[in-house]
Parts: sequence; structure tokens; C-alpha cells
Amino acid sequence: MWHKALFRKDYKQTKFILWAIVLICILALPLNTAVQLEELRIKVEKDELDGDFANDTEKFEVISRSINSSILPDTMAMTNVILSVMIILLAGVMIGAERGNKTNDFTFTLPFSRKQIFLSKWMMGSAVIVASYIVNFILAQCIIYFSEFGQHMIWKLSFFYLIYPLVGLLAIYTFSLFWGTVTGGVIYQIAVSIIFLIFPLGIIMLLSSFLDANTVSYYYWDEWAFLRGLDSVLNHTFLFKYNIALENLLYDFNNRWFDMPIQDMKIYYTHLLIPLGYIATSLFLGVMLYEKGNIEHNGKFILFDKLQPVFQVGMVVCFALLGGMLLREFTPYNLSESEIYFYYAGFIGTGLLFYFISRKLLNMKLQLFSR
Amino acid sequence: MLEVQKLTKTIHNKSVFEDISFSIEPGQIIGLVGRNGAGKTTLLKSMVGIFNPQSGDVKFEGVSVYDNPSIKKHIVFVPDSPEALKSYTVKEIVKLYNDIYPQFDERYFYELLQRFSLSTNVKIGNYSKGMKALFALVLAFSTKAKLIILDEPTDGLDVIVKKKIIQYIVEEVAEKQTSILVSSHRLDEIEFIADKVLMMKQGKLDSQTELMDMKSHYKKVQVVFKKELPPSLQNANGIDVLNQTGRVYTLLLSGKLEKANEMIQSEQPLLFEELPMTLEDVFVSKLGGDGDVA
Repeated sequence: MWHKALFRKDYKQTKFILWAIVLICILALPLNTAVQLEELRIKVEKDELDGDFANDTEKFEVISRSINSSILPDTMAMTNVILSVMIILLAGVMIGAERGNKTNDFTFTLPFSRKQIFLSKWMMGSAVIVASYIVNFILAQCIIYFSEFGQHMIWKLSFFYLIYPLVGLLAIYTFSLFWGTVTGGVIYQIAVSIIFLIFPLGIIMLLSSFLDANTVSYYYWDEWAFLRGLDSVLNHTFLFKYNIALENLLYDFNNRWFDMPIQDMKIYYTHLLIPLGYIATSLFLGVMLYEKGNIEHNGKFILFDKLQPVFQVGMVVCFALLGGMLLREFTPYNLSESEIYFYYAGFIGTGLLFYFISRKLLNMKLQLFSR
Repeated sequence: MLEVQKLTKTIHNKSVFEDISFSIEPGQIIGLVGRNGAGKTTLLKSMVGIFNPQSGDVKFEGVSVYDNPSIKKHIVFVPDSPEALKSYTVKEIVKLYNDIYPQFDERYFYELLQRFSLSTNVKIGNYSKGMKALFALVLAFSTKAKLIILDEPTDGLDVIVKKKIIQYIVEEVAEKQTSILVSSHRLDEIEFIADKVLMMKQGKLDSQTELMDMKSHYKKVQVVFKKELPPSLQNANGIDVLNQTGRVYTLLLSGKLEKANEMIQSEQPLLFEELPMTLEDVFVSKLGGDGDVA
């Protein structure tokens, strides 16, 4: 499956982004940790001088909390926002960019199956993400461990901060790679990947506005079992929760997050099943669609004719909901009784507009990516 | 060696070509000709797995290239321009091809670069159009592949480069028994190098003609009658008008040449003269029409 020639070809194509990922991991994990530790050092000295600590136990708890629930998640979140962007770009260059020049033709003439080609791209990207992330995470941990704050480290939390973001990032990569097998160019791939990555939160917002406008208030969602279930499912399928919003995840595990001693925090690994599910599904569907993909449609928004109506309906409905939501926000205060009319004016107007835009978009072949 | 079996391809529910079958033997050069839009490039790309055909198969030494793509290490496809490799340096390509093709002959490759005065210290994108075409050929032949598929190898090149390329292809085939499938609009070139010509018309294989046999299947004659071409000859099977200048007609006779000859003689032409025939005459006669570029 792992063929040197495919590795060499993909490396040539993506080396700038791959090295950028390595560099981001080096700069954002160990270096940022060192800077944050220095700031903590200054803060502790200042607090000591000001007599802010009642006793040594309080000092120990404050430092432990700073390291484990502030420095680590903050460093992770900042790193992972930038890494997520780079990873989506990487997936775009791996597959989408190939469709924009003759590289796709060249790749498919080589003596390798399409499954081999796709899995090789996945393995190469994943290997770089995993290796650079783990090595630099360990370096960052060593910086804390060998400092005077080493005794404050809580290994189960460190492991949590390593494993969740890592699986989350791999899920983002695999998911974005999968969209490359459906779309016909790098811009389409990146756009659709981002839209579907934020879709779970976006659709909650759009649906809540729709229900609000139709008198079912969002605040009553809790009384509607199916809406409650939907909200929960969508919240859990939001992939950025597993690598950026780590504090939310800790809150899910521990309701009294701020009151309890940091070392008593509970960590569960069952939630990993969601990003792992993303990886397995995207990989399975990605291989299948990459094998079936008709590259004569490269440059078009969607490679498969049969999927075009699905995307058209989805696009029109989502933009109609967005249009309704936005126009409702502009309802003058003295006309708040009529906000449903504003909502439907926005809904129908934007829906119609995007019906025509989607027809054009789905049928056109971008010259920039034509073959 | 290579067998194309009932290959069919449709794009947007429109047939590009259907039911194409032919075979290539070792050391054979086959020319693929047809008008613009006849489906030549799509056929070549489908044969090497760039496009997925709707049905049919391509077997190399009995092994399907779709089920066992590893067999493609014996087949190299050379597109009209090596755009995919333009960001590579020569050294990077050598490493890549060494990994892909086990038989890649690096020493031979560098010898050929020297012979054609192609610089080794540049990126492929920096070569001129002619140099790129030559480079792609040198690269393909250095893989020692048993079959090389060329799509418009001389398209847009100057006569000097064209000559070099044609000469090089002929040399390689003579020395190494490599098989070549070449699509081109340059019928004179095809006529010069090919053993067999496949003609595509509206997505179908119109004919497969051995060039050696062409002369026994076709005859080009110039005739003059007292008036215009007699009606009995105008719609006759096996008689096609290639050209008309006044009362002088150039005809292409095909099929039963004796019978066509007799039909013309029975109309008592003032002049009946046999002319040297070219592939272009056959092409115009068979694939020409009412200017309908497909």
C-alpha cells in the first residue's frame, strides 16, 4: 500500500504545507509552552510578593490549575486552530489541486490502483500530522516536567490533551480528503470541507431561528425530545470540539469543573468514538468514491451527476434558512409582530437566488481547474 | 500483447466511443487517426486507466489493466505535453521513475539527453515546447516499457523537432521491439512510421488497415469525361470523389477494384490515369463529410 514512488510524488506536491505543519507544531507547542511557563513564573512571584496565597496548599492548587487547565488547553487550542487550517489545505493540495492540472492524469497512468493512491495520500498526511504532533507534544511536556513546575503535572490530563486533539486533527484531515473525492477542484474541496465541518453548529443556529420565527422558541427545545436529541447529536458531531474546544469537553465530563480539585477531574475516552467514526467513514467512502470518480468532470463542483440534485436542494434550503434568519434580525423593533413576514421574505428571496446560483455553479466548469 | 475488448465510454450519458476492439502485437506501430472530437484522446486515456470506461476491458499479456493496475509498469502513456512534470528537475524525475518502473535505464536516459542536447540541470518547465516533447519521449523509452502510447507527439512542434522525434521513434522500435500506439493528425507522419492504421469515426472504429495492404485495397485515379461525372459513377459503391476541377475528377476506388475499374471504363473516359495514393486520400474519403467537426 505504501509505495515509495507515490510517497515521493505526493511529497513533491505538498512539501511546503507538510513542513509548515511541522514548523507550527515546533513553534506552537514547545516554544509557546516555554513562554507561558515564564509568564506563570512571573505571576507566581508577583502573587507571592502580594501575599495572595493563604498557604502552600492553595499555591499548589493554583499552579496545578494554571498548568493543567489553562496553559495546556490554551496552547493546544491555539495550535490546533492553525493546524486545522493547514490540514484542510493539505487535503486540498493532495487531491483537489491534482484535479486542476494534468497531475491527476499522470497519477492514474501509474501502475498503482486508485485505492493505493488514495490510501497513500492519507497515510502520508496522517504520518506527518501524528509524528510532528506527538514529538512536539512530548517536547512541550518535557519542558514542563523538567521545570520547577514538574510536580504539578497530571499525567491523565496530559494524555487527554494529547490523544483527543490528535484524533480530532486526523478526523479533520480524513474528512477533508474525503470531500476531495466528491468535488472537482481545490477551491470547491476546501469550501465544502469547511462548510461541512461547521455544519453541525450552523444547522443548529439556522433551525433554532426557523423554529423561533415559527413561534416554537429555541428556549423550549428542552421540552421537545427529538429536538433535544438532535441538538445533542449535532453538538457531539462538531469535530472542532475534539481539538479546539477542549475545555467544553472537560465540562462534559465534569459538571462542576471549576469547583473540583484539578486532580479529581474525570476523563472519559468513549467520546473518541465520534472522531474515530469520522475517520472510518470518510476513509471507507473516500476509497470507494476515489475509485469510481470520473476525472473527466474535474473542474466541476461535483464529480458525480447523481449527487448534483442532493447538493442543489441542500444548498438552496440552507441558504434560504440563512436568508430568513438574517432578514428577521433586521426587523424594525416597532414591527416585531410581523417578523415572520420578514423571515419568509428572506427565506423565499434567498432561496430563489440560490436556486439560480446553484444551477449555474453545478453546471459550470471552472476554467482555472479545467483540464 | 495488448488487447482492447469492446471498450465503451459515455460522458454525461453521451457516447464518446463504443465497442472499440483491436489488438497490438510486439514491435508494431499503430496509428490512430480520426477527426477532431472523434474520441481518440478519450480512448487512449481510457486504455491506461485515466478514465473509467463504462464497459469492456484492456488486457496486457492477458491481464486486465483495470483489475491489476500493476501491469501498467509495462505501459507508458505520453500525453501531448508533460505538464504534470513541469515542476520537477531532471534528477527528481529520475528518482521518481526509478521507483515506479523497475526496468528504468538511467544510464541510457542520460545518454539520450546528451544526444538531444537536453540540459540536465533544469526544471522541465524551463524546457521549450519541443524539448518537453522530446524529453517525454526519452523518458518513456528509458522505462523499457513494452508498449508506449503517444497522444499527438508532434503537435505544434517545428519541422526539425518533428523530424527528430519521428526518426527516434522508428529507431527505438527497430532496435527494441517496443510497440507504439500513436494518435496524430499528421497523416504523413503516421504513414511514414505506422504498420497499421485505426480510423475512428463518430466514436466507432471505422476501419483497421495494414498500410502494406492499403495499395491493394485502394486506388487513386484521375479521370476526365466528355461532360460531368456520369450518374452511374456518382453514387456507386467503392467510388469516392476526392477532388473535382472542372471536368477533371480525382477518384478513390476501394473494395473490388477490378469492378470499379470496369465501371469507369464502360463510361469511356477521355483520360484515365492512376495517381500515387496517400493515407490522407483514404482519410478524406472515409472520414470526410460535410465539414461536420464532431
